[in-house]
Amino acid sequence: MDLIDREIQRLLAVEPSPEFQARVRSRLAREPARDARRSRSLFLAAGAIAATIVAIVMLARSNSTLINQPQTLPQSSGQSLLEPTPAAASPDSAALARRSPLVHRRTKSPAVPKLSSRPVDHSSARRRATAPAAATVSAAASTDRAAEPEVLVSVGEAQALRRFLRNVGQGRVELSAAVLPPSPEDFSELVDVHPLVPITI
Amino acid sequence: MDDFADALAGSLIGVDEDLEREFEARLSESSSLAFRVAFSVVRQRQDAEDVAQEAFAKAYRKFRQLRDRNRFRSWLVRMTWRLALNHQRSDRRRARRKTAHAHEPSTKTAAETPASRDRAAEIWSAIDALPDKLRVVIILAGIEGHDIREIAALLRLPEGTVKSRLFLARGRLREHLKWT
Repeated sequence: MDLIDREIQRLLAVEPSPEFQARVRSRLAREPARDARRSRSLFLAAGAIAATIVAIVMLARSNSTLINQPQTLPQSSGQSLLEPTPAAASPDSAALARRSPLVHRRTKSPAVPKLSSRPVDHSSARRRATAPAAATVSAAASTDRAAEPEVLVSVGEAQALRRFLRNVGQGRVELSAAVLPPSPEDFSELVDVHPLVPITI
Repeated sequence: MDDFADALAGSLIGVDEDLEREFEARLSESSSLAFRVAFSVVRQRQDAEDVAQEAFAKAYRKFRQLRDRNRFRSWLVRMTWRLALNHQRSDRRRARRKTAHAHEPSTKTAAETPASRDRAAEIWSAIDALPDKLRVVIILAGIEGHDIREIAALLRLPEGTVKSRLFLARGRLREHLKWT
């Protein structure tokens, strides 16, 4: 050990005052009370959070159960107007639920609805709703489509679409022009370009 | 709910009692070490006690998180060192202490002479001029005669690193003090 080490040892040969440890102990004695309080409040907070989570889960589960349960729809005239299916003819609530669009949406995985081949006119639907015979015919036709949501198309639109497809099939309508990109001449004939007149204020 | 929380808190306090006994033993064996480490930085007895006390309080709060209890001394040394440096760098507090201790013979002993005080001031000045990495090594070597292995364990450094730092620190001190 050289002189420097000895000098440093001499400089650091200091002891804390006799009451130092007592002071530290009294300082530490104030710590546990705060710790116990903190742990108690921590447990209370954890319990409250756990209770909240359980309540949220229970609420979510009860909501999903409600959605999955068969929905009893009231047999009002408005319902039969919108859905002139066997539901109108049969008062059975389970049958109603099976044909309910909400239930179909949950049971069928594809999200894209299929276009119904049955054209529906709201005015004619209203008329048919009053006629029980028409409702029974409609019920027979819709049994195979009961699992899918229906897209309602007006009679006029459906007729126009059929006519258009028939004309395309028979070659009366030429669609090749619609596929090709437009040429500049198409626009030059339609648009007149005039030179800009300077604006003076 | 309150009863349940009380019961759990009570069992925790039971566990805490064991920890407290263990901490008490650590406090008894390490109080001088913490005080000296703090003193080597702040140079005032009262400040060093405050810093060491703060280090023990911090260690007490986090004692439960210390997985390897055999590393308590190393943990305490590093904590005390950092706290002491923070204390030293707090200019405002240091200035307040200086005015309070202006007329107080803080660390003087009866055997101290003006010549020895000058020499001590010279050594402290040389130690202060060292970088922190070298300073802590030479200080720990001066406290309780720690050898290289013990310093390496306290600082959690390889022994080779401690050895080279100690060599560098001694060289710089010699150069600064013009000692041979």
